[in-house]
Amino acid sequence: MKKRWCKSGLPLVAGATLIVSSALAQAVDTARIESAGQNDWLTYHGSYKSYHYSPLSQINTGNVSNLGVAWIHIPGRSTRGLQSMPLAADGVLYYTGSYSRTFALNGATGEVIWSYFPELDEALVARQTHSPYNRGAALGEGKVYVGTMDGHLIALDMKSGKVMWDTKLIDSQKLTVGFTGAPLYAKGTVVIGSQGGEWPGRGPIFGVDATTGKKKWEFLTVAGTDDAMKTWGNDSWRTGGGGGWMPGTYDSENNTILWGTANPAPLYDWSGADYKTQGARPGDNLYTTSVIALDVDTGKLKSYHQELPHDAWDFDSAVGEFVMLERDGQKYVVHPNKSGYIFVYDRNLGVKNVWRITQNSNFVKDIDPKTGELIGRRDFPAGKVSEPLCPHISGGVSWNAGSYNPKTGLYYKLGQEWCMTLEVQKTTPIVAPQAQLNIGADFKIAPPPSGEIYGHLDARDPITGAKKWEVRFPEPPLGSVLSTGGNLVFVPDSRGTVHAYDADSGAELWSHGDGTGHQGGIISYAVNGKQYIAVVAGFGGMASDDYAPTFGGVYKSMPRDDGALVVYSLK
Amino acid sequence: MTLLPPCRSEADEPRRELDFREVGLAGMRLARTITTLSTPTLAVLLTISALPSRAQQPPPSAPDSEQLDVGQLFATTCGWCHSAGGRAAGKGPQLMDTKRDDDFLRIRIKNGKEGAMPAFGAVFNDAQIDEIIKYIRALKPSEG
Repeated sequence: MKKRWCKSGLPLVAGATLIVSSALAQAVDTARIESAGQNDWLTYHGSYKSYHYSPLSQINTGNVSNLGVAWIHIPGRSTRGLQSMPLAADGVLYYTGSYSRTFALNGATGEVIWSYFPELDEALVARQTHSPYNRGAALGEGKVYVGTMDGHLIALDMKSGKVMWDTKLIDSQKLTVGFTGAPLYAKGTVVIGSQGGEWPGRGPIFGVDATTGKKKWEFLTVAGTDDAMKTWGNDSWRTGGGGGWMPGTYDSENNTILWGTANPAPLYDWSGADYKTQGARPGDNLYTTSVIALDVDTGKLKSYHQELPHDAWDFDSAVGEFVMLERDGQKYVVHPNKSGYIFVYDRNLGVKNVWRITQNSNFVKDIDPKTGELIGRRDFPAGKVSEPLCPHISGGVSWNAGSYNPKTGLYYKLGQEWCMTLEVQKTTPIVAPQAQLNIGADFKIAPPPSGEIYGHLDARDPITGAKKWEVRFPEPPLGSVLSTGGNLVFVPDSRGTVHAYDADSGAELWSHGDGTGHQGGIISYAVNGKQYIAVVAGFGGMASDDYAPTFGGVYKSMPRDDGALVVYSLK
Repeated sequence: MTLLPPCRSEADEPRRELDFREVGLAGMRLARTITTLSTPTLAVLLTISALPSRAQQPPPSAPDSEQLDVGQLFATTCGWCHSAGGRAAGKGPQLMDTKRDDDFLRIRIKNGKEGAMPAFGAVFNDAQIDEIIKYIRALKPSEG
């Protein structure tokens, strides 16, 4: 069946006045994203530095108690809730919902300027598990870029929402996976990574020409080089998993894309201690659970660090933001791994330090802070695992971003305390007629040895890991964190409340209910001199699926198919 | 460069909202409609609806020598949501001691549930789904 891609804008109503200030503004290009103008949020992580920080200070510790709802937008059909990071450029807010529904809204009033709903292969979507949510779009060269669950990358005209190009990148019908992650625009290239860790594929990351939509390069995270091939015994690379399902960043000094890769498959191996020669995928399994540096123009691998060689616990590197810092004349890259270990690198991905945010962690004894070497790793043979594994498969941290505030010098990051019982089983990858999950175990969530499951917002030195303060939550928050020049830290929690904390002390200064749990992004931007905080609400993604059976309470009635964009400003 | 067909103006055709009923197996609405039909009609409809569309291949014919190892299937796929091999509630409901009847389980496995469970109608044939249902009915608490 031929797909119909058509623009779907609003018909102009006589007398309507839609002021689209983007018509007058400068184009969003690499330089503009890099300089990160304070009124905008031009890329997923806020800027290429990935701070999730806004320098705006109109809203600050002195007046945040006056923060109230300015407007709300409901995207509709929010199956699995809303998980996206909004973007803002020149007074227009862009965001996506489930099924890659894409909106451009007047940032001051919430009025819809245009909307675009791609017609997806819904029979395919019905067969997917990590679906149909979307984590966001990218802006660049007058276009909005969004990925789809059926493996397409689409470019929409920023002003009208008209489709400029539409490129199919993944054979999703065969591989089951598609794109949930936001793309990254840099230097004329749109980069997007496939889902894949749980499936028997090879986890590609793509570089696409922003003007034409033609694929420029493809990097296979599973055995993407000859050297890497050797780290997969028994041809296990054929069904290796991998992927790169969250956006990384662009290092303009080195002409490099930094990206985190996903875990290998099966998630749980039966190798026992001798994982180099035994089990489902003997070897280190490059380049899964790694941070990689690719040349932005060619996609060639320039450097990498594998955070967890032979990852036997599903602790992707794909989850983490790449925080680009400088301190005492040294340049660093701080990157959280899903295990809850935070890696500190130099700009060539040489390990400088490793610290841990998760309190309950036993999948390794430690990670050597000087070398990144795993110490006392737990590899399992087939059968029941005697001591519950910590952290739980949902991670010591998840893909929701932390925030670095250059004024306080602190990294505000959410940690998660939960564990799991586990019975490892030998599995055979299912690749036909369509790829299926390949987990490798029966498992169940369990409380940590310290007592109850909980989450915590930590204020930490990003390089040393020294903790300044901590705020605890009864259930781990799954939304991203925002910090601002007004000395505020915003955390949207899982029960549905957005909190604002003093960035220095952690004192709670303001909170407001959004009506349902959060598992997406939060940004700040300004229009005509007025500052806004925009947050998506809407629960129902992977990690949140466990909340109703585990915690009960408000989660029992919380919808998993609804959501809203809520925008705040000072009254 | 992908060339796009010209779009018809909005006057000719309003923006197309996707309706569950158009998309075959997906969606509870369709499942509800199906359960009100007689069993033979139901069987025919499910067989037809399980047929492949687009690039799908037909469900595998029943293997004569190999039986579906449902325990392994849970460790591979189902256990992602049905915790502890189906014995505990997690992302999905507990299957052990489920009150749902065989028809419900069969339809759910084939059609899935939007936003909750994938559709496996193209992956398993009727004999294999029978095996899965048998496994579910036989689930007991694990020892120890």
